[in-house]
Amino acid sequence: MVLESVIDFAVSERLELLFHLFHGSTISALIDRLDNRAVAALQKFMWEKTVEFGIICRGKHFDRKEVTRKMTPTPNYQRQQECSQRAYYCKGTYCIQINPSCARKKIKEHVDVMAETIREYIHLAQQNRPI
Amino acid sequence: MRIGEVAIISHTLTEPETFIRSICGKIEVQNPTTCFGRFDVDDQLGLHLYGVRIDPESKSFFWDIASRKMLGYIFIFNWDDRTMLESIKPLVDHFAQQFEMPIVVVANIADRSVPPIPEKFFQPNGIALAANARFTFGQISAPADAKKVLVLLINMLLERLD
Repeated sequence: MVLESVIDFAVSERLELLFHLFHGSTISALIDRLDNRAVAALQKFMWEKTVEFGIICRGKHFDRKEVTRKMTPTPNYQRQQECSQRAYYCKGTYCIQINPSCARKKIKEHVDVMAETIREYIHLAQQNRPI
Repeated sequence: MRIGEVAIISHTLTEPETFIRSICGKIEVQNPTTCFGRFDVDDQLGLHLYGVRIDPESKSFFWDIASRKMLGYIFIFNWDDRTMLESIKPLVDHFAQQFEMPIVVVANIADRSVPPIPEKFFQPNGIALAANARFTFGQISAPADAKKVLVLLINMLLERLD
């Protein structure tokens, strides 16, 4: 059985991502060597890990807004890019196909925010402190 | 007695040998590319652990034949050794894509009392990489950590029964 999501963003790339994440290196640099489908899958994987780490660290107090509030809001990002598309198009799965450079720029920002958030959760757990 | 077989794979044979010694107490058979240890759970069930050094010359069909009977695979690399990580990556992908059997990738650390991230993020279930693959940290020379890795692999097998 071949899992489609594994092909999009190989297990070894996921491993590589965790290696960089836990060694404190920049994650967004990995994006440049991935194709569009893998970039979208990387973003999904990072979001899943952020939520997992958030729930382990914060329990029922975890709120996705504590991650998303550090990201540039979509209307602001679209204005910066002079984009006239509808707001719901502005996500990895759609724009990565029609305007990959713009989508990659946005995904890089999001991925770095998620990495920073995961490192905060790790730091808080190491300090044994609530967020 | 029923026998379950597990492959422990790494860039060199040192890590599988250390892991098997932690579980089984001793190495039964060893040659330059493989080693073998046996762990009897009880008089009904035994585990055979095969340590394998990655040979860049070996073809994928070798693994296709050798791996069909395995319960699962444990890949080991030393956490600060990028070369070791690179060497296991092609095989991890090959196994993850071709087989449904569980894969555990272990980052071997020098001191289990100071893991790179707090234990609660990777114990007891590891960090999911894919439906059949998990990542975890452990000091493979410590029997307690090696056993946790083996238990994780067996739990992944049992989860497939759900």
